[in-house]
Amino acid sequence: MRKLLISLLIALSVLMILEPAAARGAEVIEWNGPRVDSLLMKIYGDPIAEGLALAANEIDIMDVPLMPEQVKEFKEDPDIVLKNYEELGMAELDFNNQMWPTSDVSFRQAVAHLIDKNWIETDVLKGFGISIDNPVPSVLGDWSNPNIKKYPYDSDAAAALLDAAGFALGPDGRRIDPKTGKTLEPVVFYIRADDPQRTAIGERIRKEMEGIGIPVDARVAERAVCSEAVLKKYEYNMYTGGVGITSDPYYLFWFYFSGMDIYPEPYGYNYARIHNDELDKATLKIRTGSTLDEVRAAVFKAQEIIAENAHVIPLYQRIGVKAYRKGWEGVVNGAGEGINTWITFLNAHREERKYGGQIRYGLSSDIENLNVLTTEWQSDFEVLYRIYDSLLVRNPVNLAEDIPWLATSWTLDPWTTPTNVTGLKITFNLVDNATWHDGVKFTSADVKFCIEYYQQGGRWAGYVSNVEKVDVPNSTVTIAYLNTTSYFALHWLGYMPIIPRHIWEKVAPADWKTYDPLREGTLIGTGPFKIFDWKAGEYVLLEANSEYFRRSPGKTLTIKEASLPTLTAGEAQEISVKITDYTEAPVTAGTVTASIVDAEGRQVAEIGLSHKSEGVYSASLAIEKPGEYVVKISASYTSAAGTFTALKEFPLTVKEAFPATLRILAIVALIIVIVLVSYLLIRRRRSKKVST
Amino acid sequence: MTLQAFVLRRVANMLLLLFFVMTLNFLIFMAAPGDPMTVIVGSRLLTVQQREDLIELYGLREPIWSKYIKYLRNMLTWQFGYSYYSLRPVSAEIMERLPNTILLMGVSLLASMAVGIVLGVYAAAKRGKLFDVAAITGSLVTYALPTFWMGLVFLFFFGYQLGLFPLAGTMSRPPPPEPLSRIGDLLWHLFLPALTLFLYSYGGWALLTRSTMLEVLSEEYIWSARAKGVSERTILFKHALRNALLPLVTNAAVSFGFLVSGAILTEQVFSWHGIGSYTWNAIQYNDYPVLQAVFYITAISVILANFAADIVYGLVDPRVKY
Repeated sequence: MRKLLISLLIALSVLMILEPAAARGAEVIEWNGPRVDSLLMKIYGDPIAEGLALAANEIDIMDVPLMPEQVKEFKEDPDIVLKNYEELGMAELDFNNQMWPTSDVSFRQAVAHLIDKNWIETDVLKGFGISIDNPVPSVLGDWSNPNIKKYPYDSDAAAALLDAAGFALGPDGRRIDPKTGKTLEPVVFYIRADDPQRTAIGERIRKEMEGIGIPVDARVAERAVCSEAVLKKYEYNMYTGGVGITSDPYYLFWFYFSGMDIYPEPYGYNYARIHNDELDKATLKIRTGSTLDEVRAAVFKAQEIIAENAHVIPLYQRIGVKAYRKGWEGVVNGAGEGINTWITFLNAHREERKYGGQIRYGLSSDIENLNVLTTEWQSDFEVLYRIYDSLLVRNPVNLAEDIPWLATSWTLDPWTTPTNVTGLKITFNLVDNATWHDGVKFTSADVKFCIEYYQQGGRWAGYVSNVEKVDVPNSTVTIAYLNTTSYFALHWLGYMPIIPRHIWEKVAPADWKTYDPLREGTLIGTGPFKIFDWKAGEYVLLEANSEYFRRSPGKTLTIKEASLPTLTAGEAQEISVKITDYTEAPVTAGTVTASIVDAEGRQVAEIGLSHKSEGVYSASLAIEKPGEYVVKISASYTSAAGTFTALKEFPLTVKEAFPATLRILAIVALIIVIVLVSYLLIRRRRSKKVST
Repeated sequence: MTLQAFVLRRVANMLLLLFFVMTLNFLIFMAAPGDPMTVIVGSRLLTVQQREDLIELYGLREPIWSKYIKYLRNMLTWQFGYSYYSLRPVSAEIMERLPNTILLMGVSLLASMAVGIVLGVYAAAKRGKLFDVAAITGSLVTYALPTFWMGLVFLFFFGYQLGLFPLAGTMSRPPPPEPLSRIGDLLWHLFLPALTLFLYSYGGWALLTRSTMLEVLSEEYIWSARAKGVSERTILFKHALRNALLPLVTNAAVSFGFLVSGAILTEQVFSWHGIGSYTWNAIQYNDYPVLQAVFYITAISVILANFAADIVYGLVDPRVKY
């Protein structure tokens, strides 16, 4: 009991320092950016060195999850912010659904009742993980079905299930096999020895099973041994397995569809050997359903069936903790990924200023291969996903939501292939204001080229293998015709990085595998950042793409009125404006013009304003006709961060000048008055003298 | 035997040894647990088509004999193929990292040799005295400490706590514009990893020098020199050390041979862009072409260094006849 309480306290104390995963999504996301001017990716070979660099203010964000000791240290550091996130993966208790007695649904359900998930959270995971019941955990957002059958920890319920299924308790305290009437043969249970958490859970389940009379042949073994026995030979009843999952629940088909129980080579992912007709229908629908509603219903159904039949028992998801330095806003804690999600690099900015500056991002692995067709490594994609855009992006806080990006909208329609196969026609309507980093306009021809180029092989070949043909009716529409009806084909095409046709069409088909865009100077995308400088093994410096089609609207010049007085027609007067950049620093080397437009919209004058001091630009302006005008101030400025322009309109009133004749008359009258007054004064003085 | 005949015989031996090393280098990787196919294509959810594409891309299904012949040809023509990890030519990647490794290993080796030999000479001369005990104990302590731990401690104290040295890399960003400042920047980055390697290895030199010197210092000609009134310094460095050099030359040859292999753990801890960290990554990803190339180059380097040592023997020791 004391041990339990201590464990609970440790878990609570760790959880207290972490933001609950449920709080994710509270961030206000802007689908544009980047707010900073540059992104420096600094390479560290060791996560401890990277952690020290964060503490020493050498970097702002770490890419890797912290080790438990680092979490403890950073908890004490007031300059470090910790964020937790659920990792994309889960540990589960796998059953061999074809081997007796785990082929019996009551037996599996009984074992499910023997798993104390509270104990797993408090004693095993100690705050660095959460227990789960669902093969589609909540990290997948709206794909997760909250209403599935659960198996509370209850050994009496487990024993009752076994009794009801004929696994009666024998006189020696062991269960009887209802098939043979003899004592049940020990259940072969592989427990992973290389993962302490899975070892502890496996041992506990073994004890619980033995506690209700199930004999267990527990084989605590390393990964390679388990892999051979479980994944290849299927010589097991139970296994403390673990799987990585994808952001799309398409993996339900790979893991649980009976057709994926492939033995022997090349083997399938359904090593649990689940053969359930109802589940097959649902998983096939996940694979072939062509609408979101259809697929979501199938995904929900599959989760219900898996839980109801206890085909596998999901155990837990790890919680990763990532760290960044205090003083940053706009850091988005993405599901399954943490704080270094793609949108963070668009939204993040210092608290004290909304725009400008640099994010210093620590990478724990070297950046080696920036050929998007061939690289497989996360660290390379840290750069590539900043350079290249895709047609859609995934909402990092709800992985079930697609956000339009290079495609503004899309439609999925049925299509019949020439060989009479029902397929899918996906129409992507594209943005018309995106350009490649070298200034070439992005068009639908780039998308078509990209799909066809990827079909020749490499990393993305599987994503486009179902595409039969691509049409481009105009420069902003691409239509892909596929020989599959899968809704997820939208994601296969939508999430691929789009490469520029004008660059890659020059790469010979024989050379694409070894083509090195970084060293060739052709690492060009439409993305939010451009490559600026790099040094192998040391750093990569990216600069913000000032022409980005989703540039932050606020990241521009500001034009403020300095002096715009009411003018007198025909008279030259000075007007002035003040120009500041997005960091509120005065712009001293900009180009500023003023265009004066009358009430009918006709331009009556255009003048250039010259810089005086501290960002104030002025010029002399004379307008002949009195009336109401609009002064359109246009400012542009080119700096290392790019070219910025701004336009602002101010009202201008020109009052009527005093007529010239009246002016002369007034002067004459004034002279007369002065002369008269002078005469009167002189006369008065004289009269005073005479009287005295 | 003439020098020419000696060289020819040694060259023939070297070639034979090289062939043996090359074959071993190939077989070791074939027998190694885990295979690149598992690492590269086995860890993710892939369609059959995607798996096949990757297998084809990496050439993972060729028969073993075909791989061996291709391997031999490539090694002899200095074509190490493409890294599984980066898909860049291995030779280009090695050349990119080799200068950093030679700098780090060279500086630490020369420093540890110089300090270790001098320390060993004086420790032998003052056998049993405080200096001897202190030098040998100090050497053993730093020799026994794991380099990655020592490196992390240095990073923590000198890099993080005191902020005297950088935490990673071989240069600052942006690099200083002036050539002299650039050299200074490089030395600044070099200091901690070189110090780590120096502390790890100088003890070995000191111990070896001490033991060989103790043997020589008990020779009669040393007593004779002392009796003639030759200064102690001249006795130690001119008479004794010269006769104690042979084991040191052998050790130096082996050490210089490993100059190109890099220091895996030290380079990793200090994010030093060299052959050691390259090897570390290659081990992690079962990157056979890289490992084969690094081991092959290291083997050649060691063989050549030993050959050079055989020649140097004759120069430092007149008793050696070819």
